[in-house]
Amino acid sequence: MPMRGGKSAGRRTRPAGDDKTAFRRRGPVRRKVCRFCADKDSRIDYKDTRALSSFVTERGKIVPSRITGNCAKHQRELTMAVKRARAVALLPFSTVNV
Amino acid sequence: MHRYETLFILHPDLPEAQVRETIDRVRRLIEGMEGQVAELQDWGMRDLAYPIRKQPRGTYVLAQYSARPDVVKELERTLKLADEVLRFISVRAAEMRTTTKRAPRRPRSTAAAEPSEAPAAERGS
Repeated sequence: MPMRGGKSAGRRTRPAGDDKTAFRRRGPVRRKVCRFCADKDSRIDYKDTRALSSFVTERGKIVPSRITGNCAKHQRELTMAVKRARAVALLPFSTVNV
Repeated sequence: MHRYETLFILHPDLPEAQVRETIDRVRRLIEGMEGQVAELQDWGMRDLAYPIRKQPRGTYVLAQYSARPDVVKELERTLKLADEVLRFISVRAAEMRTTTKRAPRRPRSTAAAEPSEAPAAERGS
């Protein structure tokens, strides 16, 4: 390491670091912020189908928080809301057969 | 007394007069048991996300009210027995509570920090 560092100085240390991260994912990792924490006025309501539909896949599955960036607390509330909405046919359980 | 809301779906073939009659019955039931109806909205005919009792559509009605817990129980019992009701859901409306609970906390925290008064006085002079 000291030998390499002396040769290429600051330039090559960067790409080397990038290679290590590229092993897992490409590009810079952007920290997602929970949408409901960012907007404190917004409430999760099972009747608001339009808002909920952005957290549900085309097939009607709930999008995991690792994709949406929701915090655990709001993801729990969201899950509850989606399940309530499903119970009263505001959202589908599944869209495979329909 | 707690705030609740009940959303129910009526059969699409139900004549409008009977829809109004059912909504009226819900109102009378809640008020008859010392509850207060805040809002009773008729969302009208909507497509269901999936068929219920072979019906692709239904009339949605939302009732928001404050009442004793036994009123909800009685309301759910009558909705369950009513043939024209496809489905219903009752939920405790907690949204209002959290806002009223949080409100007194904010002034308390600023009042507890006494130095906040000193800068205010400086600004004044």
